[in-house]
Amino acid sequence: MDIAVQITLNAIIAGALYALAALGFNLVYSTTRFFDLGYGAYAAVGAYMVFWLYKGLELSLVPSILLGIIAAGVIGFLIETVVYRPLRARKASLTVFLIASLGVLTVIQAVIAIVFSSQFQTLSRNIGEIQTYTLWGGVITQTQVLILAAGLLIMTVLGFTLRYTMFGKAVRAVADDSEVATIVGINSNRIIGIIFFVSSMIAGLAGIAVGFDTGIQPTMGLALLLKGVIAAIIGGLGNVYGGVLGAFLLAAIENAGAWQFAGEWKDAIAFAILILFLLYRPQGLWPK
Amino acid sequence: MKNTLIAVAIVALLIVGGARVYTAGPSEKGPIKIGFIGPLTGDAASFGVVAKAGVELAIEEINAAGGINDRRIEAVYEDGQCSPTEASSAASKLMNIDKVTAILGGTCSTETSSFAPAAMQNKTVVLSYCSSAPSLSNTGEYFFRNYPSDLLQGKFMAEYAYNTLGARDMYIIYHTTDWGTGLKDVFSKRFQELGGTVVGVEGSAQEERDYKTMLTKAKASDATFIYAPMYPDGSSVAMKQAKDLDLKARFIGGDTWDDPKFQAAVAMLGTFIYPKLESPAADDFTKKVQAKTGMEEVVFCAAHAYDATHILANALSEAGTDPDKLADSLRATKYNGLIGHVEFDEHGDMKGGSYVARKIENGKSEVLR
Repeated sequence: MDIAVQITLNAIIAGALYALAALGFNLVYSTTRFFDLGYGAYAAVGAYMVFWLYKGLELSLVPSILLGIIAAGVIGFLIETVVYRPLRARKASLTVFLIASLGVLTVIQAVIAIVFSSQFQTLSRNIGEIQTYTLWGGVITQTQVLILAAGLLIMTVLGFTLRYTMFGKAVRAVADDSEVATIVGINSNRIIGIIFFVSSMIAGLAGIAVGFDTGIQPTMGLALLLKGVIAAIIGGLGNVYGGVLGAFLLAAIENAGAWQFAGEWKDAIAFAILILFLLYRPQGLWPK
Repeated sequence: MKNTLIAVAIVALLIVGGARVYTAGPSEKGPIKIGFIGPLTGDAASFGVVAKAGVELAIEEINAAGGINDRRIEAVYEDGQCSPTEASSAASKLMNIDKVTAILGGTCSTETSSFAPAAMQNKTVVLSYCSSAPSLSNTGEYFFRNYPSDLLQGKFMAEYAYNTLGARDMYIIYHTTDWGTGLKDVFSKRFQELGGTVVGVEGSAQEERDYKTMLTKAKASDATFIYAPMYPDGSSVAMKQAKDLDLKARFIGGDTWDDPKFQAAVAMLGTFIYPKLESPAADDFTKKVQAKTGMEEVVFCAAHAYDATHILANALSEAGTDPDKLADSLRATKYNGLIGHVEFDEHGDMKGGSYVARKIENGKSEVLR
């Protein structure tokens, strides 16, 4: 059945994007316990950096993407140092963090809109010649395959790092209790800084992926962030693998719903799932 | 106690003074103010920017000729962003703060339908130069538009598809705004009347950027043609995703595809057909708008906005700023402008108008004979 295969492929592609969003978000949440809304902004930063380098300055593809990802990471790290660390030193409450992160998201979005205009843009330079592959009757483009591959690679590397390396153990210690971790000798602030750097890089990659797949707009971060948050909640907040599985599950249900009912229902379905989970299973499918 | 009294007195004065300013109508002396609403940024900006230039040109001409009964005419320009929330707050500002006599706008039907009811209540005349949704016909006695209702466009496309393109099965994907829904309804009714079959209908929000599943369903239906009344940004993304999915059906669209940004974006994605209102050529006007805006292609709303300004100015000089007299004078308009002969019917819709089909290929649009 042709159409079922294509719908499945669509779901896998969307799932990969949501998984990247959920991955970074979970990373930050598990270590600092706060809902970083600014996460969406780093995705936009990554995408617009690539837009400027690849389409504006006409650099070649791979360096532009790498620089875009690093730029997103750097911005994330700076925000953490300049905004969140002082708040943490003052023992600010989680609500304060949430509002601060909302402020970060708004400011970054506004700056991007001023510098790049709020017009919708595409990242790809030559739209006509996209390599496509046919799989069991469904079609997938080269860009989408690359996104999928990048996503899976990051998930594996991250999982491996967190579980088996000293750094990973330090991260889990800070996630457990950052004060005790400091007492034991771990530099919590440095670990958190690195976590922000890594998760913002992942956000940047997600933004770049969305940019190549559809396009970019200054407000793109929020939509991506919301899907990532829903995926993370479904999978179990703070559980890195859970978020990934939650993302694919979300994409599957969304696309199945769009197939059976109408395309307009996609967002409604996504948020209905969120509400159901918050009501009946707030710890998610795979609680830590 | 004394401080409290003083504070209360100040607040009372502010309220009374504010209320006087708030409820006073347009002034009777000084320049006549009219408002303009159109998308200066965002999805349909190509149309809004040239429309603004059209209005500016008309106002320069009117003022150079002495104004309206010795009063200058001034316009306040607001950005509607082709969005109901933005247009609605823009209109509120124009009516309550700038106290405009009339509003020229919006471009998008979503803009107009969001503020027109409030304008009717406020007795502010609204003359839309580009909104085509059929649902706007029943807005009210102070509403006019010098752009025909989409009853015309939808019917034209259905007949063109059936008779000229030989389409017998059609899939429809559309944006669920007033404009898109209106076209979808008119088109599918006429297409089915002629004997064609509509094999499927999929709607999405204007801001949607992932059309893959909708396009997959269209592909699975094996329709040879797809009618896609969508706005430029969504259309660009959808056409690209359609190519990615190896969708072989041919796309026909709505008048929004006159946007040069869209035409450039789909340059290598195939041939697309869309309708445009027929209007006599006006090279002189086009050159002036190009000079003002720096845009290479001048899309259709510019001439309509220019004509609308003149039509409004004529009515103002004949009837003054009283809303009822102004509306009556507008209803009796017989005007020959850049877009041809303009007359309004009892709903304020423009009478007449005819469409031609154009095709987009390699980033350029040309008339199809």
